[in-house]
Amino acid sequence: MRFRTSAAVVFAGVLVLATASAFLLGQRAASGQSANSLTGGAVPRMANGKPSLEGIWQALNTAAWDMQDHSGRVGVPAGQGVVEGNEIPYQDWARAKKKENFEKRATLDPEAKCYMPGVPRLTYEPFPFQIAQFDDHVLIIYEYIHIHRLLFMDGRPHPDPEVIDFWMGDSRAHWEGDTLVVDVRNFNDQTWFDRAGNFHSDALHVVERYTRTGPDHMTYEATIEDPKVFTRPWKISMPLYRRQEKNVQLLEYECYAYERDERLGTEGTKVDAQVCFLRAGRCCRHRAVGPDGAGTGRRTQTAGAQSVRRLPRGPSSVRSVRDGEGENVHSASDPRG
Amino acid sequence: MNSYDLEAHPDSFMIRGQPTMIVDPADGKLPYQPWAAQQKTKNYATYYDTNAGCLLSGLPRTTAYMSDQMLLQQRPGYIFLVSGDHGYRIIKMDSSPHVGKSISLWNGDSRGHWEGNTLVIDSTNLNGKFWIDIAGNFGSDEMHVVERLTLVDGDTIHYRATIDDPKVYTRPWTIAVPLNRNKSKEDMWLESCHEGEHDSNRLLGAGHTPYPGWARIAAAAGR
Amino acid sequence: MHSTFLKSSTIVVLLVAALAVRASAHHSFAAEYDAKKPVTLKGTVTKVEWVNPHGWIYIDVKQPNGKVANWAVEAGSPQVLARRGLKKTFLAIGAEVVITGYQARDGSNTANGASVKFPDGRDIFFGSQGADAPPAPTR
Repeated sequence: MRFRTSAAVVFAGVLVLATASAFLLGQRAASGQSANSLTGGAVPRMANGKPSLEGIWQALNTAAWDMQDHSGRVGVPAGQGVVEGNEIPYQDWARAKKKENFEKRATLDPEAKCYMPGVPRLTYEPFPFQIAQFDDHVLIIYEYIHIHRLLFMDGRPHPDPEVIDFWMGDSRAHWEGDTLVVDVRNFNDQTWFDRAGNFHSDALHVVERYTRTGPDHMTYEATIEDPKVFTRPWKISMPLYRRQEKNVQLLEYECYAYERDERLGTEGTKVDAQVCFLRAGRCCRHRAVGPDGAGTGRRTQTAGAQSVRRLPRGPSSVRSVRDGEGENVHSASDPRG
Repeated sequence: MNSYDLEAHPDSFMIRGQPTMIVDPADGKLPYQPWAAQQKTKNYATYYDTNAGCLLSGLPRTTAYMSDQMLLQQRPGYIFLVSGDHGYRIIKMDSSPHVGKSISLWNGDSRGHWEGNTLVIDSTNLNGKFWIDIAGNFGSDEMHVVERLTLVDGDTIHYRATIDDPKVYTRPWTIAVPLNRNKSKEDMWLESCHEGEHDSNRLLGAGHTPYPGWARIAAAAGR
Repeated sequence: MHSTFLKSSTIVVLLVAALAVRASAHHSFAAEYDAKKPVTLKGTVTKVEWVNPHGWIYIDVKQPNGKVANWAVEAGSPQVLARRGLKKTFLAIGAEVVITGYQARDGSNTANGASVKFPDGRDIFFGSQGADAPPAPTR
């Protein structure tokens, strides 16, 4: 996913945060206080009396880049973290692993390869999602890579994790008062919680809590537990905002399709090599590279390419080189490549 | 119905045979313009099915002959069609206009309404980047699809889709297929695809390349 | 105007062709594998990847010249096996198996497998089923 900075800028422009109370809502929700009185409206309810979680929602924070407090850096806005206590209680070995992940995040982050982001990360990716609510399940459809989640509420258990696991886990939900509590298990160990390298094992267990607090706001909390990686459970929370634009609808973000388009070059040929300068999270220049990795001066033209900007190559820019041979260059697990 | 080929074809190696899905024109064949009929043959020889790389299936493929499990769910103002492995479609059930022409989508932009017991779905803004089936049949970025879904009994939906694409075909054409209720009580699971996909490497190795999509096909064919 | 088409807002309809088991026709097997290159692979399992859209089973096969070649066999999806209650570990590393299939057109040691036979006589079909499943091989 490459368009973070521009998406964040556009989103801030269109989202109506009309009053200071909306900002207060975020802070108070994080501190655990009820925010009903701030929203100026009753919580909508379904015919069965349960709160309605329906609508098109989106998070407005920087957790997808880094879920803890962080300063700004190239392509990444500064952010106050969403982690309670701002500490992620890693075991010692895992703390070192997280550090290594962070240093190599441009290539190691599975989300950079357009893989599914897992739970809870997909909730706070800067893309909208739509909730449809039924008596025995909740459907959430996400604009990001056409992912959907079914939160089953008929009381049946998770499938046996020795039989099956999922990138997005398996979700079983029930109401506790006015909060939808979602128990998520059956994860694989392939996803990260953010671009900063925070990770988990296949023992991950997430409990989400969705609490509608008014016509346009919801509080989202997630307790994260993984005895193979952390010393104790830990918790994140954030507000979710209902998109206000008239006729707003989910579109598509087909991450790996765009990335493939960039690599295709001219019709029917393979691009020999591609150099992506990751600035502002976006590939904005392609050039051929010689065997020593230096530019040859040739430019490969991709269809629809705009005029190429010259980019400064300071220490803050992150550079990745991909092997353009073969459709999927991420197949490290396949010896056939 | 399977997605090997809209037109009639017998069993062959790794391909399951099926009669044509096309009910109009009466000969059951796609009414290609001459250049497009050649392009279709070139597609199958040169490129590989867009689904192989886990791209979305577009229309009518996604709904008509793609999934063994598909949820059809209704809420006020919306109908959702959700597949375990081929994404979802949002049908807005209102009179809002389609999104602007500069937005192009794999599964298109859909508006639905009722005509008696038939759900009529009008879809535009398709991006011309998907194959209509594994055989290399294709369309342009101005494809216009109108689907009609009628519940004929408790377990069967009669599905018709009319495709109007004057850049590629000589006239609109229509398919008709049954959609049968899945009576198993199995949960619908989300399947990943891109994360573990290696087949495109085999196809590249066998000499096929990724389908470049309508814009490049049209440019190369002088359209 | 609503209709009797969808009587209530909670209707959930799972639409399918005749079989309930997942299909996995994500692409043309015909373009990827070669009808003229049927293979029977007898060997030991070295690695198993249960991923979508297709799982992969890797086996060491002793060749006539005594050398060992590692083959990748395209198997069914994890969902196909899960629906049958098979655990991810049903195929153990080191298991002796016989797999029949067709070799890839690109000439690599890759095959499209339909079933795996164990020495104890078990024969587990893990290929595609459903509307898009290819017809059974005729040989």
